Amino acid sequence: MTDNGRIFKQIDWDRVHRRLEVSKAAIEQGVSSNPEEKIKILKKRALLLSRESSSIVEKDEQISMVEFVLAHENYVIESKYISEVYPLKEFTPIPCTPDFVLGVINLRGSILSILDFKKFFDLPDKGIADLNKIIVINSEFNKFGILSDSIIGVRFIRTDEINPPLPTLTGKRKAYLKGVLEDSTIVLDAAKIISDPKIIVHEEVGN
Amino acid sequence: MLKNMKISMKIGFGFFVIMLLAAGVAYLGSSGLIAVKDRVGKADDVNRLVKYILEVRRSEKNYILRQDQQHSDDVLAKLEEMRKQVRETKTKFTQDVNKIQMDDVATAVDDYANSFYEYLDIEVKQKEQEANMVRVARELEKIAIALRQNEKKEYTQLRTQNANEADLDDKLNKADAANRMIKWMLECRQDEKNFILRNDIVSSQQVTKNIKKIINQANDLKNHFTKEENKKMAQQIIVDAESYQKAFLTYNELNNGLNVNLEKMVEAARSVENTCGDARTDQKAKMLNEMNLSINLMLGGTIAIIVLGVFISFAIIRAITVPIDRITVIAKEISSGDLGHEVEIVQKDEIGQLADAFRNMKESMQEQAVVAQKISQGDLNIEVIPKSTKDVLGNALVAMIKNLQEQADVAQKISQGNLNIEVIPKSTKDVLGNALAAMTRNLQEQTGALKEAVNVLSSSTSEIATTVTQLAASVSETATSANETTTTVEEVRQTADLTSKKSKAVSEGAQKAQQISIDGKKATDEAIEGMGRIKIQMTSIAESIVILSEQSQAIGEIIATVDDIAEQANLLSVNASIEAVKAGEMGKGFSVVAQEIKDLAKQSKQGTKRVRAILNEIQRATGKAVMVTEEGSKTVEAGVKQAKQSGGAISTLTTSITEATQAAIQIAASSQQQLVGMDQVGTIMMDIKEACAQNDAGTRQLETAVQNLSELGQKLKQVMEWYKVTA
Repeated sequence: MTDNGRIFKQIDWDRVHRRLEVSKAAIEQGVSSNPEEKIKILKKRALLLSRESSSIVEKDEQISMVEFVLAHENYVIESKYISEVYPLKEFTPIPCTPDFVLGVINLRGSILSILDFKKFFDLPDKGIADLNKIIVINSEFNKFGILSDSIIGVRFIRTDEINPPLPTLTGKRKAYLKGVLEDSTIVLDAAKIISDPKIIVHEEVGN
Repeated sequence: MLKNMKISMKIGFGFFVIMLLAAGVAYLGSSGLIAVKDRVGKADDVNRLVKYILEVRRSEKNYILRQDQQHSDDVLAKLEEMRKQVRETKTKFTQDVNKIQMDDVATAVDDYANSFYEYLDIEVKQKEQEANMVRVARELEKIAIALRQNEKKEYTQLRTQNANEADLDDKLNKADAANRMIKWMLECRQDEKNFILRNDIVSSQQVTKNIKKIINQANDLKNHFTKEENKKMAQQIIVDAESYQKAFLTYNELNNGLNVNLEKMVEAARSVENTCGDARTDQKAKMLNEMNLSINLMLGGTIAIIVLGVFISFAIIRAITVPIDRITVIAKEISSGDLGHEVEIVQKDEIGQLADAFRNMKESMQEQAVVAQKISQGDLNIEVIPKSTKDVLGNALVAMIKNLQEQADVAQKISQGNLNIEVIPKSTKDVLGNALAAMTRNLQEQTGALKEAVNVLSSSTSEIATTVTQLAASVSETATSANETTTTVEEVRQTADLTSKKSKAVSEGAQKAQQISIDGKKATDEAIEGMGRIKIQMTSIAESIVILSEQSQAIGEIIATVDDIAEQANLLSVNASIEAVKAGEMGKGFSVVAQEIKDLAKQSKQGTKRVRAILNEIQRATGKAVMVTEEGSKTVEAGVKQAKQSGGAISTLTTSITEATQAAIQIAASSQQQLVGMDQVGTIMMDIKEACAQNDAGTRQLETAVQNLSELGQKLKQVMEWYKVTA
């Protein structure tokens, strides 16, 4: 009895009730959105926006590039060759094609073949997931998709920021490189990739 | 005569006579059978003869048909056997008639044999003649053919020389004649064969006729022939024809002889058969006679044996049974105790001896009866002399008299008061001895017991006297004790009163304790109930916590959706930027918006990350809360168990208190009863005092009675002295 009594005495029921009241009120506030809070958030955002406007001004000498991840490495590719990015939902594998051809997808009614650059560049592969995205390359010769692990975003890079590629960077990738950025992001040469006969080879194989 | 023969002789004589008769009959029967057997043997022999002659005839026929050596040998061998058989049979026969019959058979057999030999001879001759005929006929044919040939040759010569018609005709006629002769000769041979086969007169006449024709023709030709050669040939034909004729005639004659012999043989065979048949019939008749004779003899003999046997056995049986019956009647009378009849049978055989023995037995029994009668009258002075050492009855009588005298002596001693005698019974079945022994033993014991009793009586009376004196002393002691007891009873009464009061107080206290324990039990029951309620509430708390945790999971799902939307928004912002770049200068503003969207997506992602972290904490907190509630519920259960135990202890206490209360009440009641009991004891003590006074008077009377008893004991002792008994 005494043991149980001690346990009961330790609980301060008034405090518990008070805390419950507070949390209830907080939830109700969150739903109805306090106008003061809202104004605070909007102001914060406006501040942020005003800060970034300076960088947009210098965008004239800059090239717009889409940054994406392939096997934990960041790559950029010029956005002028890119028509859009698209989530990989489902694809159809094509038999009798080289292993870097993942297959084809249905992109709003048109068939688009997908290349896996990790296989093409002999990079380690961690498998295909729902988060994988397709970068749709579009040129006057060709239209195809490149499989990427994830898309980081659009980035504006000045041409002088691009350093020549490191001599240690060898392998197949070397032929498609434009250079390397300071944060070791690899800049791919989209024009070379498009015009590469190796990519077209698979069409002949298909025939 | 039969009376004086021994029984074994009688029976033996009867059997001997009957056995003699049986042997005679058996001899008659067996001699008859032997005679019959002899007859049967003879008849058999005769039969065998008949069989032989039949076999001979069969072989003979076989020979005639087949003409072979084997069958003729058969015939001869069998005839020889017959002769032997006839000789044997003749020696067997005893009567002259039969011997003559056998002689006849022997002659007939000889006749048959002779005829058969002749038959054989004639046949040989016939064969010769046949051969002659064949030879002559062939010669004749040859010559005739040669003649014809010659005539033909001349004819053809004449034709070539163109001779005149007459010569030619002559030649033709001559050839024709030769031809005819050949033809006749052939016919002759044919008829001859017919005759041999059929033995008929027509064929033989035909033969002689043809031969004559040939001879005439040959003579005719001989006269006509001009050539010497032809004439010779014709002459030869004539000679041949004549010799053929002669041979044929001889053959004919022989044939007749053959037939005669055949007939003779038939006759002889028949005579054998007939004679044998006669002999057999004769034997059969004789045999039947002998059989009838022996059957009659045996029947007569058997009847005679039966009649004689019945007569003899009746006589023997009577000779044995009549005297035995009479002895049996006498034995029955003796067994029934009647000794008055005389045994009248006087014979020399075993029955006579039996009668003598019966007579002797009767006499000795009469003597012993006289002795027994004297004993029955009490006279023991009799001299009995046993017939022999094996005379059981005599010896028994002697022993009986001796025993009776001994026992009479014993009885006399006892009557004089002398009990120091030892009686030894002859056996366990000795009724009188046993009775005497028992009597003396019992008398000894009873007088001994009486003496002891008298002694005890005298000593007891003196003891009683002392006891009575002691009694008087103790009566006065009792009176003092009764006084002391009365005082003690008063003390005990006071103590019981005190006990009664104390026990009442105890009973009240116990009742109070009972009430308190009932209250305690109620309290523990209420505690158990309260614990149960706590348990239910604990359960509902645990359920609420679980629901909370489930709802936080729903929040997690919502957050995942928000995450997805943020991702899509991010993608959308990238696409918007790309589109903005493509639009060039016009799209710059749009590019800013796209950047904004991207930031928003990033922020919402961060928000969801935080929410997820919070959710994880909530999850952990709810897990802990559930665990704590579970522990609490277990603790409550333990509390309930303890409460139940204390409830049980309280109820046990209640029962023992109740019992104690009842015990206290009972003590109070019993001490009350003790008080009453003590009052009664007081009253009783007063009664005892009165009884003590009465006792004092009684003891005085007792003392006088004891003195009288002592005098009586002295008198009894004097009486017992008279019996002599060794202790």
